[in-house]
Amino acid sequence: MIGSDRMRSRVGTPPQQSDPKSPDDLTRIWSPPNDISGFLTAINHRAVGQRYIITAFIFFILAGINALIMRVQLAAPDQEIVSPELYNQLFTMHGTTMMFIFAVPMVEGLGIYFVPLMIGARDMAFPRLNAFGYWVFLFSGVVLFVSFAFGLAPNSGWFNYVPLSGPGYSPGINIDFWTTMITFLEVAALVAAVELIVTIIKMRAPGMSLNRMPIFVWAILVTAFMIVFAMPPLMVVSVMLMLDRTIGTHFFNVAAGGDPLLWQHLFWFFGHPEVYIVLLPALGVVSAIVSTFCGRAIVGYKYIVLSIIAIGFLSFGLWVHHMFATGIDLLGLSVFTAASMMIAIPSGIQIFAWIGTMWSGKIRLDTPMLFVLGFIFIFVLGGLTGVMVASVPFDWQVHDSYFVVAHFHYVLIGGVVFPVFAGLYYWFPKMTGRMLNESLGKIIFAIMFIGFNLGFFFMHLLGFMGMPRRVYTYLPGLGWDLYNLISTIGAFIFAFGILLFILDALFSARWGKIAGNNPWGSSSLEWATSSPPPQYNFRTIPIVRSGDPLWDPGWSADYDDLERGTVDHVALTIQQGQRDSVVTTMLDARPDYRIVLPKPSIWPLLLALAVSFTFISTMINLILVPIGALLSYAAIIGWLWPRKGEDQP
Amino acid sequence: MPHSRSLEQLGRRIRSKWIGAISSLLLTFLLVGCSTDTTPNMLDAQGSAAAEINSLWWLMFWLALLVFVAVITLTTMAIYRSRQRKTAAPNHYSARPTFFLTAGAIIPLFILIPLIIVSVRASRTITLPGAQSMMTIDVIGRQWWWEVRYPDHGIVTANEIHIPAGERVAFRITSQDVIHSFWVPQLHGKLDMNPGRVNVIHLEAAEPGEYMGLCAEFCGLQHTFMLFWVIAHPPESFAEWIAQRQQAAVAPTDALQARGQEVYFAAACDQCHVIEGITRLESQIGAVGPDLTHYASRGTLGAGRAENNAETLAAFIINPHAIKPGVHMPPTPLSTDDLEALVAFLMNLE
Repeated sequence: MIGSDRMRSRVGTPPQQSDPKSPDDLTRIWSPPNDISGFLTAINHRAVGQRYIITAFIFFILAGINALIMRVQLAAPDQEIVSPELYNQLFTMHGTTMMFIFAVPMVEGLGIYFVPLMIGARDMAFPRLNAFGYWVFLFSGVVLFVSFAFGLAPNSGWFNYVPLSGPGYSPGINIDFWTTMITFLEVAALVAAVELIVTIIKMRAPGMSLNRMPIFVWAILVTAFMIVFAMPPLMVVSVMLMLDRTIGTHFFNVAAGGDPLLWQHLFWFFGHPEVYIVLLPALGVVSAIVSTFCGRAIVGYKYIVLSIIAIGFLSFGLWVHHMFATGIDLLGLSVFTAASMMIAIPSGIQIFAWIGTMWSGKIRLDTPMLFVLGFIFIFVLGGLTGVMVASVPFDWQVHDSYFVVAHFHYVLIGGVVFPVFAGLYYWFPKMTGRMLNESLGKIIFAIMFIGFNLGFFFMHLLGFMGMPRRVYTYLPGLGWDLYNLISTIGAFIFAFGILLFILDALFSARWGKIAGNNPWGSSSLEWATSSPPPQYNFRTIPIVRSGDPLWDPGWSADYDDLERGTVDHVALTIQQGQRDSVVTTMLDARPDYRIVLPKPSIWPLLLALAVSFTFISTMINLILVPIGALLSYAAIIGWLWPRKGEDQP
Repeated sequence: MPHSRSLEQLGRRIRSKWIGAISSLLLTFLLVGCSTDTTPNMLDAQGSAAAEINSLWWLMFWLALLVFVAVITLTTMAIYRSRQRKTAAPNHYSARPTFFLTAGAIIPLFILIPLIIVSVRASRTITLPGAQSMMTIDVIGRQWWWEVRYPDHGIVTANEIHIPAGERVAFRITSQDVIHSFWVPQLHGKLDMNPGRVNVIHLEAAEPGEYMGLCAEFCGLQHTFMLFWVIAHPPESFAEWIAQRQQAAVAPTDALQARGQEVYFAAACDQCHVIEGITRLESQIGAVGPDLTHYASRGTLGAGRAENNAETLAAFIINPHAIKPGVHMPPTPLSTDDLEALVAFLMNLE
């Protein structure tokens, strides 16, 4: 039995006696109230993670519908199914939603849900902050789509270049929705990043030294650091635009000495790491799935981790490759050519590590693995066109054409969406306790793979034929008709696959095959608890002795050992019904002290409302901003007010 | 047989990968089949810069195809071998570091470093200025048309750029409002037109012909219809063109056109449009709309939006937004007679 303050257990201690804390006690302590107040005050990482995943997926669908409307408009020349203004709003909302409100929150959501489970923790380091981040994300996404409902959506592209998006050429409120939404959404991203870093560094199960951490956790850790460095320049530049538009500063106004290129530098300094921010967690998911479905530890663990870290650093040095056509001098551009081509190397190393794992493993071609194979095909193709566009003269031809649209959809859909679907198939049983339909899953994969390639491959050719981006229609007689039509058909096929997935998910969540703890025979800790996990995640905290804990000897076939206390674990006594977990050291995860986590609270929601009000009021009347700030201050005081028996934010 | 269904799946995977690879190749050649005479096809290089970029493209294409086929082959082989195994290799077995380092780092470096060198060399070749005095043309991007000025010859026009074939021409490009981008795919890559800065790009058309250009940076509502044409003349023909354009506008030849000229002033067209020798405005930067001195010689109206003829011109004058919504030209209500006269006047301005 381990006492309260400091623990001195070492790896190698024989299993403890089962402790007196029953599952019912733990459930009682860790559950939120079972009513609407429970919904609003829940701070458990699985509740927050699930909300992120579902909300992000809904925005994915909305942005996808935007794209389908665009494709209908472009299916034939000289159509006016949508007006030019609506088309411009559609493509802006499509890009903005996909990049900001789907991709980053989705990978964060997977991290928030699964990282604590994978590292054997009961919750994250700052549960209320976690909930706050979600509410801010939800409000910012909703506000952006509200603008659409009024026909006032942002309409200058997702990267929103000045001077077009400045006060001179976009006097309406459309762009203000963009600047406001971005700024406060990135508060949510930074919050999630800080959460994930602290949780991963301090709350791993005893014995899970850094070199035993699952690759997905490494990927999330590196991603979180990238978010911390990449988001602030974006927030700065969107605030600068907000100031130009509201109080008359001249950051980007040429006539007063400002420079439009400043926008591009600051935006892309964020924008390039952003795509790796969404890619790296996806690569982490791929490693988890390849290892599981080849029945062996991932080959080249060290190299994969080093590659992920290398990508994290290198990606900050590439941003000018989005600006090759701006007239910057050649020497400067060439440096970015070299860097942009070099980043192919850490990506390539990971691909070969996965091939090595497949080669020496026993592969099972279930749906998650099929999505991973689809990812390899599509992402490698996209990466190769990426090396091409890293060449300055070639980019001078294909920049801002459909070739580059094809390139980035190959790397984003292949590199992020396919692994996300793989992850959803893989982890759906853990989240819901039931399996998705396996036969239908294979069909859905085939439909999505074929639909995607039909939809986007021919865009490479359209780029060669001179079709620029962001055009609401095109003249007949240019030879662009056939490939546009094929792309539209492919897009609808791809969307149909996603529709089938949604229907299956809704059906299987209620009536799917029961999953059990570890239906895939995986090796990481999230599979050591029930499906779905209990409110307290793990009855006892496992002691980890390898990188693939569940494949160590001593685990029973049903992986129920932590519930029964039959493998090495740390047991914690309850004191006054508190939510407790273990804090361990950074490198070797030696137990350090016991931490008490907060109970459900309404303050995250209240602060999120106050902060959202503050940001939105910049669009209404600036006098409301200090009022919103005061409300936020009050909410922070309420949040931090000391409560008996709690010591954590 | 217990494995038959999974072998089927494997077969499907292999087939779909190979189908993907082969069709990529085949369909690239379909590119040629779908192009028309007017397609601004960058692979149909008509100038030295575009030709240089094309060679670079084909080099990269074959390298990329090689790498892609190698990766897909290795993956397929890995899947096949994996299916043959009875059990997975033990977890402590790991591929030797030489495998990753060779496949993932050394071989790519042998491909990427030469590629970087070739690419940088190509970019220098394309941008090296020609030595002697080249003709200079200024192009100013405007929402949503192109102002074209020949400073050496005192000519101002719009949306159509005439150059001598076989000679390098220097273009100084900038923007009057938002960022545009100057792109003639058959001749060269694109270069942005930034307000407050002047970028320089050299175009050379090897043969006489008409080459379509586009705006390639989203610039607002009618970015889609900001098209232009580069028309390359044989040298003598070009000299004639210059001489003709240096003359002032053709005077009205009949009463209808003379009346049209009066309508031109009465409807305040001269407040925005210059007709050299007729309008009261000096020819200077700041004219809000395109120069109309030789309007009738243009093939399109609205920077490529519609064909330039009497009907479309009449419709455009009455309500430009019916043809190109959002342009900065206001509707001009005119009686049918006035309109007919105005159109006759303008269509006489060869």
